[in-house]
This record gives sequence, C-alpha cells and structure tokens, in this order.
Amino acid sequence: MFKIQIRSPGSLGAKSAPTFEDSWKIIENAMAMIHEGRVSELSFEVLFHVVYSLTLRKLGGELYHRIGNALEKKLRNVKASSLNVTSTDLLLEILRAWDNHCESLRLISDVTMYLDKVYCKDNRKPFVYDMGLGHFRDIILKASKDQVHSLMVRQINDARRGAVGTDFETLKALVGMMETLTDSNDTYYITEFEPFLLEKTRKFYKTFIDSYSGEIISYPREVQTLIEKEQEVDSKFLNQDVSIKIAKVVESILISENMHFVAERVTPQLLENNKFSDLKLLFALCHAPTDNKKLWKQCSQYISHEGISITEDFSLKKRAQVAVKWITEILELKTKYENLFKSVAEGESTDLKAVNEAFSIILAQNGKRNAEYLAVYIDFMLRSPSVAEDSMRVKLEEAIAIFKFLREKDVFEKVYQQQLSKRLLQQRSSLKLEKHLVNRMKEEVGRSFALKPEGMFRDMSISQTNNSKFQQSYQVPYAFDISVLTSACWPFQQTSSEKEVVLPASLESLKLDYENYYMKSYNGRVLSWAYHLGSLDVGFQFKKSYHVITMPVYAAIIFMLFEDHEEFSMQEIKDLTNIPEHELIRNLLTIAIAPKTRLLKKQPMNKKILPSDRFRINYSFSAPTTKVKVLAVLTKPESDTQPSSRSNDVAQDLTNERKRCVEAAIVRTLKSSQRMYFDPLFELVREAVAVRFQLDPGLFHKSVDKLVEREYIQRDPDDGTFLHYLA
Amino acid sequence: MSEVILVSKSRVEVPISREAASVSPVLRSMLSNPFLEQHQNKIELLDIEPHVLQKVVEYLEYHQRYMLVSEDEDIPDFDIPTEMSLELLLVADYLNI
Repeated sequence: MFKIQIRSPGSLGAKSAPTFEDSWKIIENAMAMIHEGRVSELSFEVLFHVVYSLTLRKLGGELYHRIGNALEKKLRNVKASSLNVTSTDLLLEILRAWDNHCESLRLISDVTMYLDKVYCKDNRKPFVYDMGLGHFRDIILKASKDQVHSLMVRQINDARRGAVGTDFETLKALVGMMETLTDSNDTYYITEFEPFLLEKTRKFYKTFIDSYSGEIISYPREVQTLIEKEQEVDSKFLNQDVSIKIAKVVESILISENMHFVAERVTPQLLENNKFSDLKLLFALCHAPTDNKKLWKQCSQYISHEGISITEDFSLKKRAQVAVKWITEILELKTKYENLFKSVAEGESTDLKAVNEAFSIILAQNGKRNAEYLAVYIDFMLRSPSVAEDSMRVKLEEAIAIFKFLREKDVFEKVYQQQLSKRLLQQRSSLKLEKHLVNRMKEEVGRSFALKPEGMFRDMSISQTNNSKFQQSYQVPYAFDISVLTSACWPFQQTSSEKEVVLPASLESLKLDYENYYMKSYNGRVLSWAYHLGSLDVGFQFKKSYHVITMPVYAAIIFMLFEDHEEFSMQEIKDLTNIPEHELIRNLLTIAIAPKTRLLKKQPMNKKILPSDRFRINYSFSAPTTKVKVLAVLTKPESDTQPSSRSNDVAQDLTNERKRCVEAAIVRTLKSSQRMYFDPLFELVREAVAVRFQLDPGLFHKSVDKLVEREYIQRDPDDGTFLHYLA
Repeated sequence: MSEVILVSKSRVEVPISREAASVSPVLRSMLSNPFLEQHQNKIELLDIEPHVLQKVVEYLEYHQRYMLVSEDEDIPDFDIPTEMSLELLLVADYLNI
C-alpha cells in the first residue's frame, strides 16, 4: 500500500490575520480612491486578497454591509452637492452621476468578486454591483422622481409640438439607465417611468382632441400626421417594443376613444364631400375591429339616409316616369358607393356589406311602393327598343340586385306579371331578354317565381304555331294573331259576361273557324275570348283622308256597327253588341270624347256618357299620319269608382294570397313538429315567407285564429301561447 | 502576443500569455481594469508557492489551448500530482478557475 502524502497547503494569507477594522480601512480607502479616479495607484491583488481573507474568515456579511453603507454615503454626498438643481441640468447631472457611479461600481465589484462568489451566493444577497445600482435607484432616482419624470415628459411634449433642440441623446441615455435599473422584478422604466409617460401621453393627445380646432373633414390627415410625428419622436429615444405601447395609446385616444366624433361627425363629412382617399385613410387608421365596425355602420347609415332622401319627382306627369327616375337614382347611388367601398376595403369581406345593409334599409322604407317601382322600371327598360342587348343585360342585372333587397316581393311579382303579360301580348320586348330575366330571378328566389312567367312564354310559342297552322288550313282573309292563354298563368280576370258579345260578321266567322280548328287539336278545352285584351286594325275613308286605325276590339266592334247605320244611341249599341257596360263606356269615351281620337260624334256634346246619348261617325276626323293608334282611356276617377276599386282589388288579392301563404306555412311547420310555442312558430313562419314578403304580426295572429277556428290547430287549454297540431 | 508576469512566493516570476491568464476571471479583471497591475504588467501572488503557481500557469495555458477545440478531438489529460491537489484546489478557488 502506498502512502500518499498530500502536502497541506500554506493557507493563503492566513498567517498574520489583521483585524477587521484594519482590513476595512484598506477597502474603504480604496473605494474613496476609486471614486476619485485614482485607480491606477491601487493594487487589485492586494484588495482582492483582503476581501478574500475577510470572506474566508466569515466576515463577509459585515464587509458587505459596510460596502453598502459606504456606497450609500457616497451617493448622498453626490446628491447633496450636485443634484439640487431644478432645471433641465438636473437630467444631465443625474446622467453624469450615473456614469460615474457605474464605472466605480464596476471596479469595486470586480475587486469584491470573491465576496459575490462566496458570501452573496450563499446568503442569497444581490451581488455588490446590483446592490450599488439599487442604492442609486433609491437615493438618486426615486428621490427626485417627480422632477425627473416631468422634466423628461416636458421635453418629449416639446418635441411632439415640433420644437427643435430636444436633447434626445440625454433622453435616450436616461431611458437606457432606467431600463438597466431593476425594480421589483422588472426594470425601473417599466414599473415607474412608463406608466407616467403613458399617462402624460394620454393627456397630451386628449388635450389635442379637446381643443381640436381644425376642419372636421381634415381630421384623418391630422391624425396621420400626429401618429407619424409621434413615431419619429419615439424612434429617437425609445426601443421599438416600448414605442409600440405608446403608439397604441395614441391610437386609442385619437381614434377609439374619439370614435363618437370620428364616426358621427368626420365620416359623414368625408362622404358628403366625396373625400374618398381620406376615408380610405380613416379606415386604415381604424384597424381595431370594433372601430372598424362602427365606421362601416356609420357609412351604411349615411348611405341609407342619402337613399331615403331620394324623393319621387312628382313633377313628372306619369307614374311610370316617376318610378323610373327614382329607381335610376337609387341605382346610381348604389353603383357610386359600391365602387367607393371596393377601393376602400380592397377586397375585405365587409366591403359591400355596408352598402348592402344600407340598401336593404332604404328599400324597406315604403316597401310596396319600391316593389312596384322596380317592376315599372323593368317594364320601361324592356320596352326601350334602342338599348343594345348587352347593356340591357347589365341594366337588368342592376335591377335584380335591387330586387334581392325587396321585402315585399309578392307585390313586385303581381305588378311584374301584369306588365309582362302586356309586353308579351303586345310583343313589345325581346323574348330572349324576358326569358333571361325570369331565369335570373328564379336563381335568386327559387322556382315558384318562374312558374307563371314560364307558362306565359309557353302559351305564346304554342299560339304562334297554332296561328300559322290555322292560317294554312282556313285561308283567312285578314292578318290576325290569336293567343291562347292558360288562365292560371295570366293575371287577367276571366271574362264573365252573361251574354255573348256580338261580333261583326267578318270577325264572327273568323272566331268560329278558329274555335273549330282549336277544338280539333285540343278536345275538351273551353275557349273564352278576352276581347278586352285585343286590338284591331280598321281602315276607313274619312272626308279628308284615309286612315288605318288600331283600336281595342270593343272600340272596333262599336265602330263597325256604323257600317250599316247612321246613328245609334248608347243603349242601342249596348243591346246590339252585348258589350259589358263599363267597357262600353270606356270605349265610347275613347273614340267619341278623347280629343285626338274622336272617331264618333256624340250628341249632346259633353263629357258624360248616358244611355240616351246618340253617336254617329265623325267624318271630319283627320290625323297627321295614315296610321292612327287609339289608346283606351283609363276610366277617370270622377266618372265612377272603378279605378280605386281596381287597385283595392289588387291589394285585396295580395292580402288573400299572403293569408294563404301564412296559413300554409303555419300548418306545414306545426305538422312537422306537432306542437310549438307561439313565438318560435312566428319566427319559423317569418323565415318561410321572407322570400316573398315581410310577415306582419297582425296577419300572423289572424291566421292562427282562423286555423284554430277551422280546427287545423288547437290552443293548449292551460297555455294559450302553446299550439298543437290536429291531424 | 503580450505576456504578463506572475510573481509567486520568494518572488519567482512566471511568464504567461495575457490570453491564458484571462481564463481566470480574477486575473482577467486585474488586467482589464486600470489598477496598478495593468500598467506594471505584473501580478504579485505572493502567497502561492512557486511550484504551485507553475502548475497553475500550465493549467491555464492548457485550458486556453483546448478551450475551443471540439469534444470529439483527442484532448490529452492534464496531469495533476496527487500531493499537490489540496494546494491547487485552494488556488483554484482563489483565482476562480
């Protein structure tokens, strides 16, 4: 076995242990010399050795304490001697003290390395360096905190106002110092200065807003300038992650917290003055989702106001003109804002939502009228022969966009079908476009809408085929055009005259021939003649000129009576022709009283038609052209009550149809779920009929009552709002 | 490459390169701060026996030499005489090696 001898080390410096006080004097003296900058006279090794041996002799605690006290005392001296200035120099002095302190502290802490390593680690004390920083923070910085902070903010605010000569170097150094110093687990900057700075920033911009004296309309630009300025200022003395916080504050003050102003005052002005690039800027500034939403909402409101304020121009003579003008203006408005928001939002999903919302509000006002106007507009468009097909398609597409917003689509449907039927019978529009339009609407609201129009198209094409076949087999001496209409598809009331209208012989034979022909091909069908829809061309030699007169069938029947006789009374005409009285009056008004088409002379000459009035041909009739078109006059309101009753009929029709629709929806809904409370049922039914019209609660109540009466459904005996389906 | 003189007990002077000396944080501090040692270029470690200091210098140079060499390469062992171990331990603590 080897015996290894380990030499016992001569303990380092333990030979002659000097007293603590002697050792401390060396350190204290050294610290003083370091503060004075006389480092080069000191031996690091000597000092290190002193600290080393004191630490080894378990005197580290006392040493640590004394060093701390010495640093504290030193800082208090500094404070007393040079930091009692109040001006901006204070900041410079603090920075100088800071630099000196850091330098000394670095040297001292190097010398006391062994103390850090052994004593501080074991006792969980901050290292000497950090302890020194802590003293600086408490004695120098915190003591004059308010002053320092407000001095700094004053400079920053000056810079914000655009003053030159701000000492950004100092500010930057101060911020750096604050970020170096720790304070309760974070940097001094974050715990102390930043809250203050943010608060003051708020105030600064709040003041700006409160005393905002610029044009309302230039607010977006002003804000942008401010934000840019702020970024520029911040970048000179702050780190990016810190300045982001400031930017947020600025933004929230100028935009989010000022949204009231921005949305309700700035936005309308921008829109009103067509400042679209500024609006775009504003949208860019309002990128917080809630702000953005508010802005959109405001725009939407503005548009709807503008839309609602488009009024009908009643100075125009005809209702159709009023309608066309109104719809045209609405469409112009829509196009304008669609283009605007497309450019503003650059493909964001919200872009057209605002416009759409606005238009659904605009069109909800006076919904029935709007529906009617749109139909009239479409009628007008389709009757314009001069428009090329492509641009017509574009126009129709615009109309369909409006159509989508209509809440009372059933009103539209009614008017539209009326007009479609007239267009088809009078062959006033391109069938191709008509079909295109129907298909488009079918795509938008579903098949049901297209049923009747498609029926009409079918009737028209079958009739044409029949006409040519009939022509071939019967050799009719006149040009004619007979349309056989399926009564369910066409919005006409069945002619229900009790007595067969007596036709002139030539027409009667044509009628019989056609009936014969038709019955051969379609056995079992009933043809009834709708004379009031047709027209007839009659040639006649008046005293001065020959005219071909296009007139309603009834008018022609009356006129042709005079082939054989000089004069008839109205009563005689009625007896001879069996024309229903109101049609008779209407047609007599047309050809005997309307100034431009006075084919008959009436005795006595006045504006009323009485059974005793006598008529004869007005041979002195003349017109500028050979062809003359006689338009049936609309029976005037004063002559009798028919027109209002007619529009009442339409309204009545509509109400009945709605009732049917609602009742059917209630029954369908209840059938599938058997029982249901009133309110959810209302919701479901409302949704079910929304394609066609807005469900009115009153109508819904009535329908429920009626269904209860007819025992389709039953109210729960205990709870009247609970409904049961009765199979 | 500048050199520094380390002085041991009995004033035996041992030269060492600055880089090698800087392996010890304590020596590095002595040399990088404007203390007496820096401009004298001499560090007096009068409590340390010459042969121990010699060994320390050897180690510092060894360490500095292989400091940046990757683990995979063949690094020779550093030989420490058993009888010197305690003394070295103490100095290592002092110099924070």
